[in-house]
Amino acid sequence: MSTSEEGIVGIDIGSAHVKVCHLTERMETEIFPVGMVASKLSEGCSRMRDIILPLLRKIIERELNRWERVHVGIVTSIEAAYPREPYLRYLREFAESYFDAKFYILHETLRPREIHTLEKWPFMSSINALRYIATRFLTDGMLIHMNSSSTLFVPVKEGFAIPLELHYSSGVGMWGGALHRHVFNITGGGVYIFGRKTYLSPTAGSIADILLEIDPSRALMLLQNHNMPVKSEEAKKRARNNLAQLLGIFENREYRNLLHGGFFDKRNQIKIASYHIYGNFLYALFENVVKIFSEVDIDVEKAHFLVSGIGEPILEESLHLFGDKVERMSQKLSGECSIILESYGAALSLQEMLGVKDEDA
Amino acid sequence: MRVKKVKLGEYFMLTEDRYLVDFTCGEVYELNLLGYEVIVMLRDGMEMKDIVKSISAKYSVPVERVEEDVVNFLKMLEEEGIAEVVWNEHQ
Repeated sequence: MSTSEEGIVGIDIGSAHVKVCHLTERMETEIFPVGMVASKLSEGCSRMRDIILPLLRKIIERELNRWERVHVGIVTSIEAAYPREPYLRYLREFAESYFDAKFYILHETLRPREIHTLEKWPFMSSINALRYIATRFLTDGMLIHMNSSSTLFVPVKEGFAIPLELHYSSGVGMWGGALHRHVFNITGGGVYIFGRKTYLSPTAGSIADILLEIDPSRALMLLQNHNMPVKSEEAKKRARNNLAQLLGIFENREYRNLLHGGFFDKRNQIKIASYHIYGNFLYALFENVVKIFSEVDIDVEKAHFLVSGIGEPILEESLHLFGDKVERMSQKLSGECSIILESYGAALSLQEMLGVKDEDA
Repeated sequence: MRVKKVKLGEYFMLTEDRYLVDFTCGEVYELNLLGYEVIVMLRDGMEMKDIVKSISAKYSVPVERVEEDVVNFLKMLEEEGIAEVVWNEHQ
């Protein structure tokens, strides 16, 4: 086993957040909203080189102050959002700059591999961390994990967690996250505004805006769970402005309702449309699950569903037809762990591999 | 000196173009030249009295005036949660 002088850390590098899981006697978690940083720095900066690597350095330096030696398991999906950066070269150079820290990435075989042994960068290794966790809890079914910008679907058939390459995950389902995804693409044939189905503006409106309109306390909790403190009244006002823009409702204009001769209540129209959009979003998630089930041919009667991530309650709502077959991961693991499941998977797989190594020796 | 000790947070990054990044909440602050120099010196472990002396000498400004500006800057860092400042109560 790893000695008391050795620390184990799992790090999930997402495009919006870097999530860290320290496996100590009491597990510690940290979430860093790097996407917010990137949006505020100059456009020319590289997200990986100029923001994430300096943050990783801070994390590792702190760990090395606590432990003589640190094992760092990394998983990421950032290459899906920013495919042009040389991740393997960056991480190799980074790893080489440390003598007392060893860096691994979770391979598709679900075994961590040292970064310097890699020949090519593994695509979407964060899914491997979820696959690792999924096989712990499911024999047949699906683990669905919703982050702020994306949702990851991990089907499990006869105890094997199927890699993304082998099943199809629709763009609408996969790129629907709990906060940041624009809603334009999930509305299909438009939304009812003033009693008529109308297409939306492609420039404004995110899931966070929708949640702030229909369930502000949940939305504010989600934002705070990701270390993004917001002033509630300002956030709600900004969300309503974004939604008005999305729906093409102008603040300084009145809209006559021919049905009763008065004017439409613009605020009510924004709320109704928000429920409609949210319903479509839930259906897009449900449809994606059905699509994958059909493709992989998982026995739906035997199946169980685990939902996790900051969008855990949203996923649970989207799967309500499956009733008590749906369980929240936060009821099996601690709440924080359920949110940072990818980094937990990275750390846990590393801990187990290092334990096995010692036993082999 | 009105300032006893200053401790910068663990998760801050200073960029070459004078931005101070707080990774814990995603905030980014644009610093003026003086603010940038103070943060660099704090990061490098300099004592507050030496920081004030150094700036005073570099810009030929009286020590008292520099100290006043630095204290105001530190109050702002403290309010934003960027640094922990231990103030000297006897001054």
